[in-house]
Amino acid sequence: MVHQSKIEGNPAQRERFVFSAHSQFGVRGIIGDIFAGFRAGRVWRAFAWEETKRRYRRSALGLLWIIIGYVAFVGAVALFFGNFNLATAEQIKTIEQYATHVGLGYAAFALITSNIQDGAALFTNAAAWIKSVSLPYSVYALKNVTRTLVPFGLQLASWFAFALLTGHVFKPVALLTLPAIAIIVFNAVAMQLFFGFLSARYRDVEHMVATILRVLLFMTPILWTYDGTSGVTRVLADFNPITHFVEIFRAPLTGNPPTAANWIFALCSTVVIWGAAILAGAVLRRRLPYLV
Amino acid sequence: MAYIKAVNIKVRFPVLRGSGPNSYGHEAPQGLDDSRLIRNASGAITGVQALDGIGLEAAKGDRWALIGRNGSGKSTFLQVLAGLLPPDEGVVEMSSRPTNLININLGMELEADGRRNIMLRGLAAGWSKKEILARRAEIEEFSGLGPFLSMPVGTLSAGMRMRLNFAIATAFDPEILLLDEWLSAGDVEFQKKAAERMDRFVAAAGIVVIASHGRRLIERVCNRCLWIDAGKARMTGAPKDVLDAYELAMAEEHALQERIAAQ
Repeated sequence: MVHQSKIEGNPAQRERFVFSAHSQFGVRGIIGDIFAGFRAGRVWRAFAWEETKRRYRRSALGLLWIIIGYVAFVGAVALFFGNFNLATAEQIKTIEQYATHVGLGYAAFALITSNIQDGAALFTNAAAWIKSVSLPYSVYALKNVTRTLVPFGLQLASWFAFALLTGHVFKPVALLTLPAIAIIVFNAVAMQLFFGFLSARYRDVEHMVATILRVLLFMTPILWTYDGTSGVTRVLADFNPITHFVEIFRAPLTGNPPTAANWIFALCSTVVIWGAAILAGAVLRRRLPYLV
Repeated sequence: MAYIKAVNIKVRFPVLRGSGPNSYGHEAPQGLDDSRLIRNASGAITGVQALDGIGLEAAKGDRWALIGRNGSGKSTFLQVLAGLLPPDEGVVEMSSRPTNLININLGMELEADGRRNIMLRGLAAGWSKKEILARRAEIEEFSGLGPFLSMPVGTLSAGMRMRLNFAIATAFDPEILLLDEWLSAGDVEFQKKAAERMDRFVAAAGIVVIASHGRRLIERVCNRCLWIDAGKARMTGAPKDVLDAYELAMAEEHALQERIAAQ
């Protein structure tokens, strides 16, 4: 379904399939692809699960490794950076609060950045399928996004277990985290498509992304707190969209409503990210089978 | 009513410039006919004209054979018909979604077992879980893989994978089936089963387009033949006539080359 358009024919006939030079150009082509992709839900769900299984096949602990890795990371950070942050941050009074700050921040950060990282390898990894099965290309993006939800869900569940054990108090404002997750996942689809198309054409993108993401971990208030810093660090965090996506997700669960600025920045980023994804798709989609 | 109508299909493979082995610059790769290269104003190669205004019309029950030497555009044409490659010019119109078996090694999860791959390929081809489960026993039986179905597909031999692929692709009685030449790579037993399946297909008035070098397969299955040469249609007709002309031309060319080499 690279470039197929179904057209209504004689009602006595079944749907007709037309592949032509004119049916798949530009913005209409990529938007049609995305809608067709969403409709093929059972395909990307099955493939997402298959890939998750593939990553942990023949491993004794399997998905448990996600939880182990997460707990080890958050535990180590709390151990080594905890006291320093307790001394500087205003809103963090206990080591449990700091662990929550790191744990939730890291889960959201990992969800966002794994979608960028996987996106940069999206179509090159799917090349075998692109060259043999006629599916909307967005199916591969949706498959990847679905797959990244598995580690995120397990990490979130680990944090909930921790919160219950330590007697964390949930306020009603915690529900605001749900629209935040929704908007992060919505953006994940666009990030997959944008970096997928771009890196299919420009192979340096995948390496560039890996380099930038490593730096971004330090530019996002995860290991440190936003109100505990000032000057350049603060400005860099302000201009890092991931800061705001992490904040709208994390703040409600820690009992603080996220600021309007966080939400406005996140929504503006959404428009930019989706715009970039559609532009990249409009320009590169038609040539994709030649690029991968 | 099944039909395919492909008109004036043109495909240019872009040659990306930049680093790496893809940058040929101004030199034509050895052995490639220069007339098929596309150059920009300064003479650098920017693409290859893979298909140059080719067409095909098939009505119900037609079984087309595509013949031609390696690199003539047979597989590219099949990929355009399958909706895998967008044509640069021209239109393909068909009555229903085609099923393709173009590349045997692609479109399989190599670490998943055969049964799981039946499900995945079925879903990717647009069938529902229920439809796939209803056909699964038949696919398993036809593939003849028995206990090997519960092994990772990556551990199967090329022939076994082909049998599984063929079994999945044909199990749903597609109206339009596109096959590349690897079909003739099966063993005798599989060829016989595949031929029987083709007969069932022909009886149901489906359309087959098959790219092949195998004269026996073509003469057994096909009723029309298209000879593709350098991305253009060179001859169309009954399989026997076209194959005879093709083989004669190839023999003449071979003789000519031998004479040149001898001089």
